[in-house]
Amino acid sequence: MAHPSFDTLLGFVEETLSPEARREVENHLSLSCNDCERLIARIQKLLHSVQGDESAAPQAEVLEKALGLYRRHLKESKPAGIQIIANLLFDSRLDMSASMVRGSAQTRRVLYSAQQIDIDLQITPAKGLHNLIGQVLDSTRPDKFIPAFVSIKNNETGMLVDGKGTDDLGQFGFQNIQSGRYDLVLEFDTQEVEIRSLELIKEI
Amino acid sequence: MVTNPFTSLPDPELIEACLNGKNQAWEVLLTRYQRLVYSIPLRYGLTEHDANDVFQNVSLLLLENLHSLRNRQRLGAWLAITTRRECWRMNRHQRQLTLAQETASVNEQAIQKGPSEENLLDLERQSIIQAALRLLGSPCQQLLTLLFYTEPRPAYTEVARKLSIPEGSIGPNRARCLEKMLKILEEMGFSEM
Repeated sequence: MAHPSFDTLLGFVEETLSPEARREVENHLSLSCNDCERLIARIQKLLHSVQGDESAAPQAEVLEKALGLYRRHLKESKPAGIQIIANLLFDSRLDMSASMVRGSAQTRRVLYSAQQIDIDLQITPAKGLHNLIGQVLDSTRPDKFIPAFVSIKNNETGMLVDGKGTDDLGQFGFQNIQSGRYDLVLEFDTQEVEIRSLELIKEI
Repeated sequence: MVTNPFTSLPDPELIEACLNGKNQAWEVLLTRYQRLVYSIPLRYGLTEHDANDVFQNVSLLLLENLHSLRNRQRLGAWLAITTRRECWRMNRHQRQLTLAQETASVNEQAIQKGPSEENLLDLERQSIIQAALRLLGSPCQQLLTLLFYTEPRPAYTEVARKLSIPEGSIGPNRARCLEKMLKILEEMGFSEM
């Protein structure tokens, strides 16, 4: 099977081919040519990126300064900050009475505590994935919200999945998280609180 | 011409080389993602001065965390999240320093808005593509720069005049250069880009 040339596929993406040439490409693609489909997708992404580029580069001296950082020794680890592991106070999935009261409610509620900080989480299934929203509160003053930057990491792979700062109400949210075990790291001004091994599982 | 042997290496190999003390690998890594890291604070509405500070902080964090990066193929995503965190920290710091409540409130709004996930992915791609552009060499680098990265976009007649090539050859050359760029991106480990 002879594949259309790169020029032809580029013309196909940019809609500059003659009707006959376009039909030929369409016929070729109708034979489920994965290579050409993949190349078309790459061309589309490339054109989208170069045509809509609004990125900015730092000035040369700023980059130079950052390049100079390497001359310092590579550190083995981050300077140790104060890190606290949060304790689980409540999990509606484990609390049968709460589940029964809620009946068929799909949202799972989990509450953690670390010193004066309470972390209230709500996990909702979303088409096989999970939406996680949370709020960081001062346990001594329920009307006070504590700002934090919250990162979610896959507990098994250690991979950083997402990270967001809390809003004015101490709230944060992550959408479409895959099932698995996760660590949440909440970074405050002077300390870090970690929620370890939060399990997001598909409800049956 | 002295060339940097690390320029087209994929991220995992670059990281390994950095950890083995190769200064040139660090140069390539940082240059590859400079636009991503620098553009995020600007999208959050931070000033250029603050964006410079965020850039330095993220560069330092990258250096400090190179050895512990678990998924070296997703360095772009790690950088995007880390930069977002630094923007948040910068905003917090400013809020603590400033006495002008109004200013703080404006900054807070900007910091909460920020770029969407899709914007971040676009920035990551744009940063890597511009790194690939630098590897194209002439005349492709000049041609694509004129066609895509010059404002206002020059007409083909103008491009032909600047590069001293026939106007009719711009289309075929453009296609050849884009194809070459996709090959470079593949070498760099971005075969889906």
